[in-house]
Amino acid sequence: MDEHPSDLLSAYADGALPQGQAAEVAAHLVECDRCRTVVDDLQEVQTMLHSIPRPSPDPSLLPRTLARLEGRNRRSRFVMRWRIAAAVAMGGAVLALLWPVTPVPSAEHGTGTWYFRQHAEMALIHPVEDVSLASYLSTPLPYRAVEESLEWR
Amino acid sequence: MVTIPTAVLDIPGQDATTEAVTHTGDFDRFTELLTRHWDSAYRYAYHLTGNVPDAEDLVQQAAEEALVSFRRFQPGTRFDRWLMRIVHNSFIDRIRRGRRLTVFSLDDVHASPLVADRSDDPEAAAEAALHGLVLRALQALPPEFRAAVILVDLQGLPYGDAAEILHCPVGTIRSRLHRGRLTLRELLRPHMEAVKRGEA
Amino acid sequence: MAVGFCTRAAVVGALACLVAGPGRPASAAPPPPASLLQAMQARKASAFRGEQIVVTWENGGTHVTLGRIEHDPPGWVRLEYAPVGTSTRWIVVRQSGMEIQYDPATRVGTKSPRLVGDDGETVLATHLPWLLENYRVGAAPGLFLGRKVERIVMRPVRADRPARRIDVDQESGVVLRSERMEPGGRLVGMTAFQSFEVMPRGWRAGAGLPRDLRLVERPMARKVTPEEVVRQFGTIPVAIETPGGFHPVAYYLVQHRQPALQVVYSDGLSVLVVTMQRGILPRPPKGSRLVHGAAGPVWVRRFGQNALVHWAYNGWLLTMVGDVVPEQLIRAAELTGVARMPRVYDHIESWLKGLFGPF
Repeated sequence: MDEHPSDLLSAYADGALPQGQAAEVAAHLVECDRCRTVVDDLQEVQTMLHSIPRPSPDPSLLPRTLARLEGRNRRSRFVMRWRIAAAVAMGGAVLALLWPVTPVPSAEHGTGTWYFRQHAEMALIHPVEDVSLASYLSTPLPYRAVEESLEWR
Repeated sequence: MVTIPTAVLDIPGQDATTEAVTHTGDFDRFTELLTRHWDSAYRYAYHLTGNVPDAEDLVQQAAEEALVSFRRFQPGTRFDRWLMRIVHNSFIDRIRRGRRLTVFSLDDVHASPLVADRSDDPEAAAEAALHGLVLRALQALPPEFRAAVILVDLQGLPYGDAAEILHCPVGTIRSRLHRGRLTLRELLRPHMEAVKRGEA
Repeated sequence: MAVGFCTRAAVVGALACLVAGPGRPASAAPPPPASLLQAMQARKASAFRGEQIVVTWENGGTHVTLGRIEHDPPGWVRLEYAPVGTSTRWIVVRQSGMEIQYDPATRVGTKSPRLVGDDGETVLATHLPWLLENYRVGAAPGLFLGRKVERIVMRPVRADRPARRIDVDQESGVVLRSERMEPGGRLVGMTAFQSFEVMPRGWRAGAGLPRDLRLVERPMARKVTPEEVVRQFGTIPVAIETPGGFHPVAYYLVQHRQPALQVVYSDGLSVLVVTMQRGILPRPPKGSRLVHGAAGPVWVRRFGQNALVHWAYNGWLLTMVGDVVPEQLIRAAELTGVARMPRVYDHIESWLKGLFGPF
């Protein structure tokens, strides 16, 4: 190994290298003081790291956390229920908007006789007037028309 | 006239992101798993943040996020690894948001010990001083290096597990770990030399 | 007196122009009976008085109306009608360009400028070509009320149109009797004078209306050109697929709660009036019946011999009235296009449009 296998030294120290590669690094270390020093230092660092305590959490932390989670779980279920309700309501609203509504014939809707009367008057200017006149007269049209004409005021 | 249902307007913005509803049975299972792996999750959080209040905050936040994501938890997955990953993601998320971000400079490493031990036992005091020193050095590492070092050297996980938790290839773990340790060596060199000289 | 024969040359000249003109039937129909031309042209100017009976049959019932007529145009025309079996009377007076209609009992009525028909030759130009195209016209001399008449029979080319038979007084050109036969030959309408007397011109000069009438002014239709229609509505109105044989002859603007366009179609003998107003929601007239067509809802109503259909299409509300069987009108509506049944959404949109300004 001509170059220092710097990047592999940690893994070598951890025994995490494949066998062939580990053997090469080991061979290099025999010859290279510098790399050996690095490995020693790295092992020293690990030792120091192990000196860090492995703290246990405050005993009250877990119960507190669980209580919080439970509240949140309930709330999120509540929220989900609301969301379902909202979705249903929205769907309902959309359906309602698309719901066909049949207009109801109404006297307010332009008084049917108005149209017939207009027709009759148009027909009256027709050359063969009497024929049209007959149709104009064939109904109680004029009598109703006057009642409805009062609406126009 | 159609009125817009008030329910649509009543959804609080924050809770609208809540994806999961965990049913009672699921919730019980979750708490059971969480309890079982609580200590290691807390320790990871402690080593990442370097102090108790931040660790408690972080592990609680992670627990909440885990509950939310528990619906997507694949039965084949190991819960402890999955939980650690959430702790890690929450931690990275906090750093990104700049929330309670504790930044240590190299100078801090050699500042006064984190734990002001008032006991009269000089040996214990010295040990506490060392803990504080190493912990501070650890906090000085970039987050990715720190996480790799903690998972492998402090939690004793295999490279593969660390890669799973940090969601990266094993090669990346190896390189991060190595560079993390080298950085620690530089940070701790004065102490190490003092030890060699027999001063410590 | 044979007014019609004096003007025949002019009529034939006008006809020659018609046949050559654009949008007119190109077929050379047999010349119409002279008395028909006379009836169409000269009758409006004839002075007479008489009593008329009008009988119609509809919905299984017979309606009879008696009419008393004082005819002295242009200064005075008075028509008094009394439907048999009722206590109502109805009087129509046409005087100096106005038409007044009132109930003599209550003295309440309406007043509006009279729709002025075109002069005789234009009338012929407008309607006669279609009459000759859509009806087979035959004539034979006859007698009615002891007067010489020409009995003219007009049989429709299309089976859905009623046939007409009229007796035209040879002296005055007045239609003394007319009969209306539905497809199948069923007699459904008849007008006939019971008494008829030709009077000198101006025989009712100085006649006047009662002073205590309470008359409501009615907006009157204004004849417009298609260009004015576009100017008013900003668009070409809906192209109506009228029943066969009807052709547009005139456009009128009229105010009925909002501006309305009325297109008058003629088949030569009767007219079809289509009223168009902007709108989304159909406004079916009172008494109409909903017919669910393939495309959408159409409302139908019969009124005497006429039928009405009402529907919505392309942002227009359309109402078509004519002396045509309802099935034909429904078919015409469906060929034109029918909007689907309005949704709640349409009601809201329509309501909002009503709130925020005109269409």
